[in-house]
Amino acid sequence: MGVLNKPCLTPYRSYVDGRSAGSTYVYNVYNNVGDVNNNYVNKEANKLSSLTKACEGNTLDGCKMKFKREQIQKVLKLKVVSWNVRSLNKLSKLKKLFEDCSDFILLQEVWQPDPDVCYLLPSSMMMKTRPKGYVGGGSMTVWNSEIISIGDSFSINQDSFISKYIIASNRFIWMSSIYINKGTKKNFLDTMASIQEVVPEEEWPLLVLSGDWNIDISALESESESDKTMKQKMKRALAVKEICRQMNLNILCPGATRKESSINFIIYGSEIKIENVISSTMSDVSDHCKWTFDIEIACPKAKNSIRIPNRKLADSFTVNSLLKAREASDFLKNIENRLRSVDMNLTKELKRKPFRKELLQRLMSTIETDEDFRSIINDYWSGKALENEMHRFSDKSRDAFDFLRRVFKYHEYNRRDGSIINKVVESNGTVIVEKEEVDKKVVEALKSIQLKMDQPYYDVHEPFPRLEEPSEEETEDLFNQLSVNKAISFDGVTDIIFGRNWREEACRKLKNLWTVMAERGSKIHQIHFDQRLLPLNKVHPQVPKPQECRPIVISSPLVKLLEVRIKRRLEKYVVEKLVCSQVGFVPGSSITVNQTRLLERVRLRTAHEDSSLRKHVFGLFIDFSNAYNTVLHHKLFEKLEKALSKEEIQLVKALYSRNRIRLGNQCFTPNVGVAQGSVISPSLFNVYCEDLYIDIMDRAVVLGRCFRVR
Amino acid sequence: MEDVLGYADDHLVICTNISQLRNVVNVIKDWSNGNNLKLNEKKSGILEFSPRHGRSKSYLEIGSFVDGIPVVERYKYLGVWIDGKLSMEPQLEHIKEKSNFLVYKLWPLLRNVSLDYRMNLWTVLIRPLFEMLCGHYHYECKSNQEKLRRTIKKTFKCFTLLKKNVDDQTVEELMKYDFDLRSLKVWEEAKMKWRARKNHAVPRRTVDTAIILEKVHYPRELQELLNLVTALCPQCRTPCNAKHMSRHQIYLPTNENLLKKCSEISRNGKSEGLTRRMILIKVADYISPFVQCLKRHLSNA
Repeated sequence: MGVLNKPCLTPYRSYVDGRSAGSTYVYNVYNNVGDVNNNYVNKEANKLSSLTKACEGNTLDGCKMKFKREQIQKVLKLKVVSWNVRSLNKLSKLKKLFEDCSDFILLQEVWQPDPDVCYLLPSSMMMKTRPKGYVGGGSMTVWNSEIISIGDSFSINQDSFISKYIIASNRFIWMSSIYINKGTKKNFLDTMASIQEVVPEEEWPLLVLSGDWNIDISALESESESDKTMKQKMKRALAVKEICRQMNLNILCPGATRKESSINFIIYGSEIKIENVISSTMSDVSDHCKWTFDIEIACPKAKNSIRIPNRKLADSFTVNSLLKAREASDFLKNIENRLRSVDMNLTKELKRKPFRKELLQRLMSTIETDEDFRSIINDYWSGKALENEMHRFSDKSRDAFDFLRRVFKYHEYNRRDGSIINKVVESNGTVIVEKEEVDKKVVEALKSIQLKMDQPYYDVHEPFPRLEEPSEEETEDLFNQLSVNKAISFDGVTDIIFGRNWREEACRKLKNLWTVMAERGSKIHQIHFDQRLLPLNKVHPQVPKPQECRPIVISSPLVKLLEVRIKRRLEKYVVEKLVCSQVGFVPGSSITVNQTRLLERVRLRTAHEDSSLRKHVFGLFIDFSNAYNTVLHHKLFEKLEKALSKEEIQLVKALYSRNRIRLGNQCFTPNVGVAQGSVISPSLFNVYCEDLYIDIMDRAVVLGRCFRVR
Repeated sequence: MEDVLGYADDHLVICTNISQLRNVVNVIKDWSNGNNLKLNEKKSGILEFSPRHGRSKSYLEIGSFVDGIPVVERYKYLGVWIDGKLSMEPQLEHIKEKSNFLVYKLWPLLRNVSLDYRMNLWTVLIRPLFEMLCGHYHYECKSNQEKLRRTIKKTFKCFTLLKKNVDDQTVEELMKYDFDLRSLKVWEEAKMKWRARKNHAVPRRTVDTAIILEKVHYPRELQELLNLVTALCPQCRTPCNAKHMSRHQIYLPTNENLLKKCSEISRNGKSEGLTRRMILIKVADYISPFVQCLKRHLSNA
């Protein structure tokens, strides 16, 4: 074992005396690392230390930045050994422990280690033992001081403690070597309660609790419930399972660890992955298996504050501006003035609601009463369901609806896109979490579809056309076509003006909006035409690539009002002139039309009355990728000539030349694709697609001779 | 014109032979190149429809490609699964799968709420999937129609947690969903709409003639009672229906009368201006003695 360094005596003494029995001691006195742990450095550690060294030459700030960026995108891997040693008093045991290079060594039942053995232990360790004279118990953690340093430590039961370990200066985990002497439900709950007390809830995903729990976790799978001891065991195992589920922790048990029972297992948080679990029997020195495993700590989550549009403020802006205005230009001026007063920024920070884990609290409160877990959980859900039903027809129906929506959010059948993208993964596997970077990537991906270099580009804003001012009834009709309670955009105008309370006033005052646009279109602030991009994740639970995003675009109610002017005209064309094969978004048609048409046309051939005339037919189902987003503008305008007058097309042109898609600091004006979220886009697309049908019918000669009804 | 079906960006062309099919594919490719649309070949598909009877061989092999477009066995068109025989089978399978999944997931909720809540959930989540089959139903033979109706009942029972052998009449009374009528109406409406479309006109709004159904409040106890009645009487091994139980001095109303009584109490409650909750409790009060009585009888043996 080589020459030992002389340890500093104070902490060692106090440990031997057991003066403060049951407390923890940190041995940080060995400056020279003995030969025992020479190989106690793994490759990862080498890499990391060399990285730090490389940074030393640079300025301090630059070094920190580099280090952080490198770290933030990386998955950290650590090697851990966990073993119930049954007294740490033999050199042979120590040898076994240090023979594989690990970053953490978690030992249980160290008893009262022999003074000779203690000399050999590395400096970076912490242990907790029972008072002198007591045989058994105690736990110990040893860590690799090259990359890990210890933060706060807390005692959680008679034999174990939990500490926060800082890894590579900016990452951390909570690690504990757990030993529960008597594996009763009470002891388990006590331990978990102390953990909940010291570890903040948002850090639970970074928990690793490994050790000897003395609760047979495999009891849950056994079927013989009749046996009394078996029942007891099942109850305990259920407690472990349910508490872990409520805390969103995973349990990993690599199999029987002591004789038949699996009483040693690892409980770990959701941000941690455990791999390569190897268990080896140590029958000559302990009746427990020793196992080694790798833990992988996921990339840290982005902790950006989320800013959402402030609807209340926008509503008040809109209403006040409307009340003070005499006509449309006044209204626009008022809105702009108000926007300037808040620096054109209408967002507010989203307050996160604190988690309330009612069920967990109820389960934890059974420490004294020893109720059955299953009945508590059942009671809890019955209560929830009953409450939901009570609220359904009362004034709390909104709560009831929210509850149901939450239930369905997690229990949908074929899950569709859910969350808003807050991180993306690049093709080389690195995950980007910084908001600006993510925005940039998403916008770039969208640009590659909606911005074509070979297409005419909008370098100047097209002028608005002079349209006739609509009459009072016409304006009212326009307002009626617009729906309320939609998401809001950047300018302070909200759709409250289309609502019942303000519609009349808005109708009267905004009647001349089109004229105002035509007269001073170039002076209208760009912010009204900025569209808020809401990138949704197409591959929901996974981290998406920048291309795997469903772009939702929200435009200002003002823009909607401008374009709804030509909606009736377009609809008229679609109904009266458009090839009747197209029924989508045609007033008075629905999908059932196409479903029955398909059946009829196919059955006409395959189920002919005369069996000799029955024949096969082929259905060709066509799917275009990103159909709406790839419409060419100049072609669209050409095709629109048959449907709309010059002025009306000019209106679309004027809007399209100003529409700017914006996400954070990124923005661009697309020159491809119909405007998303616009009320006229479906009709525009129908017109755009019309000649496809004409082409097919003329050139491909469907059904012998084809005729066109015009 | 009849054989080209478009619904927004969902296009379907029905071709009568393969050369025509190839022609159409080429035309589409030409057009999409000229108009900057990209044909998504993976998501497109060719489905060969063949006569139901007779053993004519199919011309295209499933899994092969025609001009880059895969030949598929089934395709989800506008929300309905369609196969080469135009049968309802694929869609029914899909419905069953979905319904089972939902019942499993919503179990804690379903178990605790009243019967009419469960019925509502079924109406919202499952019934629309059956509506899609209205067209198919119209053309199907009697036995297949029966099959569909059975599936409807089955999913309904599944959602309301009623036992399999609760009699059909009661279930139909609870469900109030006559698929025969409904499908006919939907089919006729679709035809009318298509006629209007061909004439380039907007179809006139059909006045919904459906009778506004009276809202009856069914408590959870009703389901319990209905399930208990299907159990075998422990002494005589016959179902515990009203007629049989009177022999054991237990007087139960028949299922029919039970439902009638429920609607009566609901109606009275409503005219008295009671809240929904109160009515539910009232109905439950009426039913629970029967439940208790039956339970006692069943456990005694």
